[in-house]
Amino acid sequence: MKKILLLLLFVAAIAAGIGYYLWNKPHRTAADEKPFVTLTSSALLTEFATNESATTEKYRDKVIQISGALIKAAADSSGNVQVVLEAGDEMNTVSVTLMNGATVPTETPGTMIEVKGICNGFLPDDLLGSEVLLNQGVVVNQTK
Amino acid sequence: MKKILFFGILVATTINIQAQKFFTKDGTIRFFSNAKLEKIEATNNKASIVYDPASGALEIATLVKGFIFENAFMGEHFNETYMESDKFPKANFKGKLENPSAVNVAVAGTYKAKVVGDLTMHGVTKPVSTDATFVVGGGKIDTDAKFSIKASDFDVKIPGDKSDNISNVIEITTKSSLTELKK
Repeated sequence: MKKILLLLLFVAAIAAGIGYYLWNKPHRTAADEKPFVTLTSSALLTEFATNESATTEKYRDKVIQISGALIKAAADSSGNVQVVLEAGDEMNTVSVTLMNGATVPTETPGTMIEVKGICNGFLPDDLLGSEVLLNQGVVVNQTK
Repeated sequence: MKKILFFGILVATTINIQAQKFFTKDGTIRFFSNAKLEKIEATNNKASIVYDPASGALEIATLVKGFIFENAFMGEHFNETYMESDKFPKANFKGKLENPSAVNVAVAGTYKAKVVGDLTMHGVTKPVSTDATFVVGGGKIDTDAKFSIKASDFDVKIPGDKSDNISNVIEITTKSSLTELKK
């Protein structure tokens, strides 16, 4: 009887432990992962623009490392830093929301910058220009 | 002749003003669930918005995966169990100001206008309407709106044992700063 009680207690403790772990599980970030693919911002955008659904299937939730010319980098209204890279022309962009606590890159617009992030998908727009969105990102390095 | 020319210029200028649309790619959408046991909040700062003052047309598009939760576990459940965002990656609103002339983009000021339209998410389209505030000034329009939807209206099923944790009524707040679209 005592053994069964102990066993039940043990199982309950493990379940509580798993629950606690899941609840406090940190956000997945691109910082901890090797990129699934490395490419230029314009190559990424072209792929999405050519076949949105197939490319979404291919890259969704994957860490993607992209390089491109910086358009702007600034904190949004939630305090998360958004880095926007040119993708072919000024209209079309790749936007990476950096992970919580990241600092705003100080590079001037036009500088080539390399960023990785988790791919969320594509927002096509003929009027505004299309955008590929990544989040939980990190700046990899900056080259002149 | 001079008069015709003047009239021509006047018409051209008017058309030009009317053609100006306002936009952002960084609109904010926040949702809030206020259930008995738990308050859940998530924010998406990558909504693209286009507003055409001439017709009053207003369009918003966003990726469901762009909602950021304080708690990673909640975010996973939101995407996998409730919104099924792999299957339904986007949410959008297509609508208009009920009275487009309620907002005068040529004169700085604070305007209130009723926005009506269709909200599509989780593969379901439903009509929604709300009173929105438009603050015109400094070459931009700041918008602010708040409304509530029912998760069940959009076929988002909240199991009975979760009803104390997740509210069926979801409060949605949108804020944006629109600038003139130069094309």
